[in-house]
Amino acid sequence: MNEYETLVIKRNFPASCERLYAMWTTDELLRQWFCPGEDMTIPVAEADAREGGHYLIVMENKDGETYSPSGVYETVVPNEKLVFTWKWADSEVVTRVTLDFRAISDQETELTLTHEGFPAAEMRELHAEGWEGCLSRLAKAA
Amino acid sequence: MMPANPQLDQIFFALSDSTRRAILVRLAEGSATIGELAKPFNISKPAVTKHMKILERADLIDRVVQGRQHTCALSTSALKTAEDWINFHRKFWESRFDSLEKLLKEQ
Repeated sequence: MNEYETLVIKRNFPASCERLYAMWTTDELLRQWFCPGEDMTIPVAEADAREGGHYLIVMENKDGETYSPSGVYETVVPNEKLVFTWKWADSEVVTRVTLDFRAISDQETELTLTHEGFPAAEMRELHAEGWEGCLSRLAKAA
Repeated sequence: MMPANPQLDQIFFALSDSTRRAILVRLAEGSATIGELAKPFNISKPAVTKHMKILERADLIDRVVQGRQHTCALSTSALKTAEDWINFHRKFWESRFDSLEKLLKEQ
């Protein structure tokens, strides 16, 4: 997988591991925050957080357009780790999200989100090589 | 929000094959004809043509036809699409983290 781009985001949250984990794995709680922007709603948030279990989230904007990620839980270690596949509806691309929960204190948890499976790194490299190639050809032609 | 991008599926599929990745690396050095591309990979011209069609569909290459000669060149437009895709996810997760943090602080 090392030729693929990996997206890593780390942040500390003012909550215990248990509470933060529940935010990601409980339907009612997910529905309260897993929605980008005030003008969007979450008609569906279903998370069967067991290994092999499915999740499905449907986000809807005010024009009725829906955006829906879904996937399967691959690793479930309560209050510690969640690994699930990530696939947008209408796309065949399957990427993978890993959540690592690390207790800083009873009231603070560090969450690391790793989203991997993007082909961008290799392509960025090609991009650079492509430009170098263009420039060397231009230099030869000039 | 950015909806799923069907072109990305083509890009992912195109990049899932080692021969096609090698062809792209070769094209990054400069454009080449089908014959030139077939030689180092020890595969037939029709096999290369099949790979080129997949790369072309993903907008990863441009093909210029001059008479019977087909010249292929690396195209950079699809690279931009892939970059936009990963940037979209970065923004998506950061905004999710923002609202999660806000909710936890309010409670």
